[in-house]
Amino acid sequence: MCRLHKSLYGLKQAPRAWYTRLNDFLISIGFRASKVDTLLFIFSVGADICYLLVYVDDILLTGSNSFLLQRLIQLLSSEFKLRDLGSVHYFLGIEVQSTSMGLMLRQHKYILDILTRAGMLSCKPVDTPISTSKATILPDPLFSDATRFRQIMGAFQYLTFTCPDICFAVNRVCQFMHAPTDSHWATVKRILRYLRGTASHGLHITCSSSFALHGFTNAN
Amino acid sequence: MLFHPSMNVVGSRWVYKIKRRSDGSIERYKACLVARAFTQQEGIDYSETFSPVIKQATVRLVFSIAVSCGWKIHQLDIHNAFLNGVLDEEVYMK
Repeated sequence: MCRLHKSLYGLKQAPRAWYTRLNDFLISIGFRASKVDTLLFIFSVGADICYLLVYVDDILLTGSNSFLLQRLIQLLSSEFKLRDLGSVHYFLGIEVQSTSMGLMLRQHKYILDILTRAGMLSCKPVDTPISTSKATILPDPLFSDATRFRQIMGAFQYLTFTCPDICFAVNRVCQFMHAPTDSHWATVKRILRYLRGTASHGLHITCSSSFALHGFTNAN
Repeated sequence: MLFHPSMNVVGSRWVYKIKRRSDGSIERYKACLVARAFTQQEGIDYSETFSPVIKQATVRLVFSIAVSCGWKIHQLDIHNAFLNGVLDEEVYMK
Protein backbone atom coordinates (compact mmCIF):
# COMPACT_ATOMS: atom_id res chain seq x y z
CA MET A 1 0.00 0.00 0.00
CA CYS A 2 1.20 3.52 -0.68
CA ARG A 3 0.13 7.10 -0.27
CA LEU A 4 -0.45 9.01 -3.49
CA HIS A 5 1.03 12.47 -3.88
CA LYS A 6 0.02 12.99 -7.46
CA SER A 7 -3.25 12.10 -9.04
CA LEU A 8 -4.00 9.09 -11.21
CA TYR A 9 -6.54 8.41 -13.89
CA GLY A 10 -9.71 7.15 -12.28
CA LEU A 11 -9.54 9.13 -9.06
CA LYS A 12 -12.60 11.24 -8.41
CA GLN A 13 -10.53 14.36 -7.84
CA ALA A 14 -8.18 13.82 -10.80
CA PRO A 15 -9.90 16.33 -13.12
CA ARG A 16 -9.98 18.97 -10.42
CA ALA A 17 -6.37 18.40 -9.34
CA TRP A 18 -5.24 18.78 -12.94
CA TYR A 19 -7.33 21.87 -13.58
CA THR A 20 -6.04 23.53 -10.37
CA ARG A 21 -2.44 22.81 -11.36
CA LEU A 22 -2.92 24.20 -14.87
CA ASN A 23 -4.88 27.20 -13.61
CA ASP A 24 -2.17 28.10 -11.06
CA PHE A 25 0.54 27.80 -13.67
CA LEU A 26 -1.27 29.93 -16.25
CA ILE A 27 -1.94 32.63 -13.65
CA SER A 28 1.74 32.54 -12.61
CA ILE A 29 2.91 33.29 -16.15
CA GLY A 30 0.54 36.22 -16.53
CA PHE A 31 -2.74 34.84 -17.82
CA ARG A 32 -5.97 35.82 -16.21
CA ALA A 33 -8.97 33.55 -16.00
CA SER A 34 -12.14 34.63 -17.76
CA LYS A 35 -14.94 35.52 -15.37
CA VAL A 36 -17.61 33.94 -17.54
CA ASP A 37 -16.02 30.69 -18.65
CA THR A 38 -13.61 28.41 -16.77
CA LEU A 39 -12.22 27.16 -20.10
CA LEU A 40 -10.94 30.53 -21.25
CA PHE A 41 -7.74 32.31 -20.21
CA ILE A 42 -6.63 35.70 -21.45
CA PHE A 43 -3.14 37.11 -21.69
CA SER A 44 -2.75 40.77 -22.51
CA VAL A 45 0.36 42.89 -22.62
CA GLY A 46 0.38 46.34 -24.19
CA ALA A 47 -1.65 46.15 -27.39
CA ASP A 48 -1.18 42.40 -27.73
CA ILE A 49 -3.71 39.85 -26.61
CA CYS A 50 -3.79 36.04 -26.55
CA TYR A 51 -6.63 33.66 -25.84
CA LEU A 52 -6.16 30.16 -24.49
CA LEU A 53 -9.01 27.65 -24.53
CA VAL A 54 -8.55 24.47 -22.56
CA TYR A 55 -10.67 21.37 -22.32
CA VAL A 56 -8.95 18.75 -20.12
CA ASP A 57 -5.84 18.04 -22.21
CA ASP A 58 -6.84 19.81 -25.40
CA ILE A 59 -5.55 23.35 -25.70
CA LEU A 60 -6.13 26.02 -28.32
CA LEU A 61 -3.97 29.11 -28.30
CA THR A 62 -4.41 32.13 -30.53
CA GLY A 63 -3.42 35.76 -30.42
CA SER A 64 -2.27 38.89 -32.12
CA ASN A 65 1.50 38.36 -31.85
CA SER A 66 3.13 35.21 -33.18
CA PHE A 67 6.36 35.76 -31.20
CA LEU A 68 4.35 36.04 -28.02
CA LEU A 69 2.48 32.83 -28.93
CA GLN A 70 5.76 30.96 -29.45
CA ARG A 71 7.03 32.25 -26.12
CA LEU A 72 3.87 31.07 -24.34
CA ILE A 73 4.10 27.64 -25.98
CA GLN A 74 7.73 27.42 -24.79
CA LEU A 75 6.69 28.32 -21.25
CA LEU A 76 3.92 25.73 -21.27
CA SER A 77 6.20 23.00 -22.59
CA SER A 78 8.79 23.78 -19.92
CA GLU A 79 6.15 22.97 -17.31
CA PHE A 80 4.18 20.15 -18.94
CA LYS A 81 5.01 17.45 -21.44
CA LEU A 82 3.12 18.52 -24.51
CA ARG A 83 2.95 18.24 -28.24
CA ASP A 84 2.49 21.19 -30.57
CA LEU A 85 0.10 19.97 -33.23
CA GLY A 86 0.47 23.11 -35.32
CA SER A 87 -2.72 24.58 -36.78
CA VAL A 88 -5.97 23.34 -35.34
CA HIS A 89 -7.56 20.40 -37.19
CA TYR A 90 -9.68 18.58 -34.65
CA PHE A 91 -10.88 20.10 -31.39
CA LEU A 92 -13.52 18.58 -29.07
CA GLY A 93 -14.56 16.20 -31.83
CA ILE A 94 -15.07 19.08 -34.25
CA GLU A 95 -13.26 18.97 -37.56
CA VAL A 96 -11.69 22.32 -38.38
CA GLN A 97 -10.66 23.08 -41.93
CA SER A 98 -9.28 26.37 -43.14
CA THR A 99 -10.85 27.86 -46.25
CA SER A 100 -10.06 30.92 -48.31
CA MET A 101 -12.78 32.80 -46.38
CA GLY A 102 -12.11 31.54 -42.89
CA LEU A 103 -12.71 28.29 -41.03
CA MET A 104 -15.14 25.47 -41.69
CA LEU A 105 -16.34 23.58 -38.61
CA ARG A 106 -17.87 20.16 -39.15
CA GLN A 107 -18.96 17.18 -37.06
CA HIS A 108 -19.14 14.78 -39.97
CA LYS A 109 -17.62 11.80 -38.16
CA TYR A 110 -19.76 12.44 -35.09
CA ILE A 111 -22.93 12.45 -37.21
CA LEU A 112 -21.94 9.15 -38.85
CA ASP A 113 -21.29 7.68 -35.38
CA ILE A 114 -24.76 8.72 -34.20
CA LEU A 115 -26.38 7.28 -37.33
CA THR A 116 -24.46 4.03 -36.86
CA ARG A 117 -25.49 3.81 -33.22
CA ALA A 118 -29.11 4.41 -34.16
CA GLY A 119 -28.89 1.84 -36.97
CA MET A 120 -29.89 4.50 -39.51
CA LEU A 121 -26.71 4.77 -41.56
CA SER A 122 -28.47 3.69 -44.74
CA CYS A 123 -31.74 5.56 -44.22
CA LYS A 124 -33.36 7.75 -46.85
CA PRO A 125 -32.48 11.43 -46.36
CA VAL A 126 -35.14 14.12 -46.00
CA ASP A 127 -34.81 17.82 -46.74
CA THR A 128 -36.15 19.26 -43.51
CA PRO A 129 -35.44 18.35 -39.87
CA ILE A 130 -39.03 18.55 -38.64
CA SER A 131 -42.50 18.17 -40.09
CA THR A 132 -44.45 21.40 -40.58
CA SER A 133 -47.84 19.76 -40.17
CA LYS A 134 -49.00 19.02 -36.66
CA ALA A 135 -49.29 15.30 -36.05
CA THR A 136 -52.55 14.18 -34.46
CA ILE A 137 -52.03 10.51 -33.84
CA LEU A 138 -54.05 9.52 -30.82
CA PRO A 139 -53.52 7.62 -28.65
CA ASP A 140 -49.76 7.91 -28.50
CA PRO A 141 -48.16 5.03 -26.58
CA LEU A 142 -44.93 5.49 -24.62
CA PHE A 143 -41.79 4.63 -26.58
CA SER A 144 -40.42 1.28 -25.43
CA ASP A 145 -36.75 2.26 -25.12
CA ALA A 146 -36.58 5.63 -23.32
CA THR A 147 -32.86 5.23 -22.60
CA ARG A 148 -32.05 4.97 -26.28
CA PHE A 149 -34.15 8.06 -26.94
CA ARG A 150 -32.27 10.00 -24.26
CA GLN A 151 -28.86 8.88 -25.49
CA ILE A 152 -29.57 10.11 -28.98
CA MET A 153 -31.01 13.37 -27.67
CA GLY A 154 -27.82 13.89 -25.66
CA ALA A 155 -25.77 13.41 -28.81
CA PHE A 156 -28.01 15.90 -30.67
CA GLN A 157 -27.36 18.50 -27.99
CA TYR A 158 -23.65 18.40 -28.74
CA LEU A 159 -24.31 18.36 -32.46
CA THR A 160 -25.96 21.78 -32.30
CA PHE A 161 -22.38 23.10 -32.09
CA THR A 162 -22.02 23.02 -35.87
CA CYS A 163 -25.63 22.28 -36.85
CA PRO A 164 -27.75 25.24 -35.76
CA ASP A 165 -30.33 24.07 -38.33
CA ILE A 166 -31.45 21.24 -36.04
CA CYS A 167 -31.68 23.44 -32.91
CA PHE A 168 -35.42 24.01 -33.14
CA ALA A 169 -36.30 20.38 -33.79
CA VAL A 170 -33.96 19.18 -31.01
CA ASN A 171 -35.32 21.69 -28.53
CA ARG A 172 -38.89 20.70 -29.38
CA VAL A 173 -38.40 17.00 -28.84
CA CYS A 174 -36.10 17.49 -25.81
CA GLN A 175 -39.12 18.66 -23.88
CA PHE A 176 -40.29 15.05 -23.65
CA MET A 177 -37.15 13.46 -22.25
CA HIS A 178 -38.99 12.21 -19.16
CA ALA A 179 -41.62 10.22 -21.06
CA PRO A 180 -40.99 9.93 -24.80
CA THR A 181 -43.76 8.46 -26.94
CA ASP A 182 -43.74 6.72 -30.30
CA SER A 183 -44.43 9.96 -32.14
CA HIS A 184 -41.49 11.64 -30.37
CA TRP A 185 -39.32 8.78 -31.53
CA ALA A 186 -40.61 9.36 -35.05
CA THR A 187 -39.50 13.00 -34.72
CA VAL A 188 -36.03 11.82 -33.66
CA LYS A 189 -35.87 9.53 -36.69
CA ARG A 190 -36.85 12.46 -38.88
CA ILE A 191 -33.90 14.47 -37.50
CA LEU A 192 -31.60 11.49 -38.13
CA ARG A 193 -32.80 11.25 -41.73
CA TYR A 194 -32.21 14.98 -42.16
CA LEU A 195 -28.67 14.56 -40.79
CA ARG A 196 -28.06 11.68 -43.20
CA GLY A 197 -28.45 14.19 -46.02
CA THR A 198 -26.52 17.05 -44.39
CA ALA A 199 -23.71 15.15 -42.61
CA SER A 200 -20.98 16.91 -44.54
CA HIS A 201 -22.46 20.36 -43.97
CA GLY A 202 -20.92 22.57 -41.34
CA LEU A 203 -20.60 25.99 -39.84
CA HIS A 204 -18.52 28.39 -41.89
CA ILE A 205 -16.84 31.02 -39.76
CA THR A 206 -15.92 33.94 -41.95
CA CYS A 207 -14.10 37.17 -41.43
CA SER A 208 -16.31 39.90 -40.04
CA SER A 209 -15.30 43.47 -40.58
CA SER A 210 -16.69 44.82 -37.35
CA PHE A 211 -17.01 43.60 -33.79
CA ALA A 212 -20.11 45.72 -33.19
CA LEU A 213 -22.84 43.77 -31.45
CA HIS A 214 -26.17 43.77 -33.27
CA GLY A 215 -29.40 43.20 -31.41
CA PHE A 216 -32.58 41.94 -33.03
CA THR A 217 -36.03 41.88 -31.58
CA ASN A 218 -39.47 40.81 -32.63
CA ALA A 219 -42.34 42.76 -31.13
CA ASN A 220 -45.94 41.79 -31.69
CA MET B 1 3.14 1.91 4.44
CA LEU B 2 1.28 0.31 7.34
CA PHE B 3 -2.45 0.03 7.23
CA HIS B 4 -4.51 1.91 9.78
CA PRO B 5 -8.28 1.33 10.10
CA SER B 6 -8.95 5.05 9.52
CA MET B 7 -7.51 4.82 6.01
CA ASN B 8 -9.82 4.12 3.15
CA VAL B 9 -7.66 2.29 0.69
CA VAL B 10 -8.46 2.61 -2.99
CA GLY B 11 -7.78 -0.37 -5.22
CA SER B 12 -5.96 -0.14 -8.50
CA ARG B 13 -5.56 -2.06 -11.68
CA TRP B 14 -3.63 -1.96 -14.91
CA VAL B 15 -5.48 -1.14 -18.09
CA TYR B 16 -3.89 -2.20 -21.36
CA LYS B 17 -4.88 -0.64 -24.61
CA ILE B 18 -3.75 -0.98 -28.18
CA LYS B 19 -3.63 2.34 -29.96
CA ARG B 20 -4.27 1.95 -33.64
CA ARG B 21 -3.78 4.27 -36.55
CA SER B 22 -6.75 5.16 -38.74
CA ASP B 23 -5.79 2.36 -41.16
CA GLY B 24 -6.02 -0.22 -38.37
CA SER B 25 -2.29 -0.87 -37.97
CA ILE B 26 -0.89 -0.82 -34.46
CA GLU B 27 0.71 2.45 -33.39
CA ARG B 28 1.71 1.48 -29.86
CA TYR B 29 0.71 -0.51 -26.81
CA LYS B 30 -0.42 1.52 -23.84
CA ALA B 31 -0.47 0.52 -20.19
CA CYS B 32 -2.12 2.74 -17.61
CA LEU B 33 -2.39 2.26 -13.86
CA VAL B 34 -5.83 3.47 -12.83
CA ALA B 35 -7.49 3.90 -9.45
CA ARG B 36 -10.68 2.00 -8.72
CA ALA B 37 -12.35 5.13 -7.52
CA PHE B 38 -15.83 3.73 -6.97
CA THR B 39 -14.74 2.99 -3.40
CA GLN B 40 -13.81 6.62 -2.80
CA GLN B 41 -16.07 8.45 -0.38
CA GLU B 42 -16.85 12.12 -0.55
CA GLY B 43 -15.49 14.06 2.45
CA ILE B 44 -12.93 11.34 3.22
CA ASP B 45 -11.04 10.65 0.02
CA TYR B 46 -11.99 13.78 -1.86
CA SER B 47 -13.65 17.07 -1.07
CA GLU B 48 -14.50 18.60 -4.41
CA THR B 49 -14.68 17.40 -7.98
CA PHE B 50 -14.71 19.29 -11.25
CA SER B 51 -16.28 18.48 -14.56
CA PRO B 52 -16.04 21.39 -16.95
CA VAL B 53 -18.78 21.97 -19.49
CA ILE B 54 -18.04 23.47 -22.86
CA LYS B 55 -19.79 26.71 -23.64
CA GLN B 56 -20.36 26.65 -27.37
CA ALA B 57 -20.53 30.44 -27.50
CA THR B 58 -17.02 30.83 -26.04
CA VAL B 59 -15.44 28.42 -28.52
CA ARG B 60 -17.24 29.99 -31.50
CA LEU B 61 -16.29 33.46 -30.28
CA VAL B 62 -12.60 32.61 -30.08
CA PHE B 63 -12.71 31.03 -33.55
CA SER B 64 -14.53 34.05 -34.90
CA ILE B 65 -12.11 36.59 -33.40
CA ALA B 66 -9.12 34.60 -34.70
CA VAL B 67 -10.57 34.44 -38.22
CA SER B 68 -11.53 38.10 -38.28
CA CYS B 69 -8.09 39.21 -37.09
CA GLY B 70 -6.23 36.68 -39.25
CA TRP B 71 -4.55 35.00 -36.28
CA LYS B 72 -3.14 31.49 -36.39
CA ILE B 73 -4.79 29.02 -34.01
CA HIS B 74 -2.29 26.65 -32.41
CA GLN B 75 -3.38 23.34 -31.03
CA LEU B 76 -1.48 21.79 -28.13
CA ASP B 77 -1.93 18.38 -26.63
CA ILE B 78 -0.85 17.70 -23.04
CA HIS B 79 0.50 14.20 -22.41
CA ASN B 80 -1.07 12.31 -19.53
CA ALA B 81 -2.71 15.49 -18.26
CA PHE B 82 -4.24 13.96 -15.14
CA LEU B 83 -0.89 12.67 -13.89
CA ASN B 84 0.20 16.29 -13.40
CA GLY B 85 -2.38 16.98 -10.72
CA VAL B 86 -1.24 17.41 -7.12
CA LEU B 87 -3.42 15.83 -4.44
CA ASP B 88 -4.46 17.84 -1.41
CA GLU B 89 -6.20 14.91 0.23
CA GLU B 90 -4.60 11.81 1.71
CA VAL B 91 -5.26 9.02 -0.75
CA TYR B 92 -3.95 5.49 -0.18
CA MET B 93 -3.83 2.88 -2.86
CA LYS B 94 -2.99 -0.78 -3.03
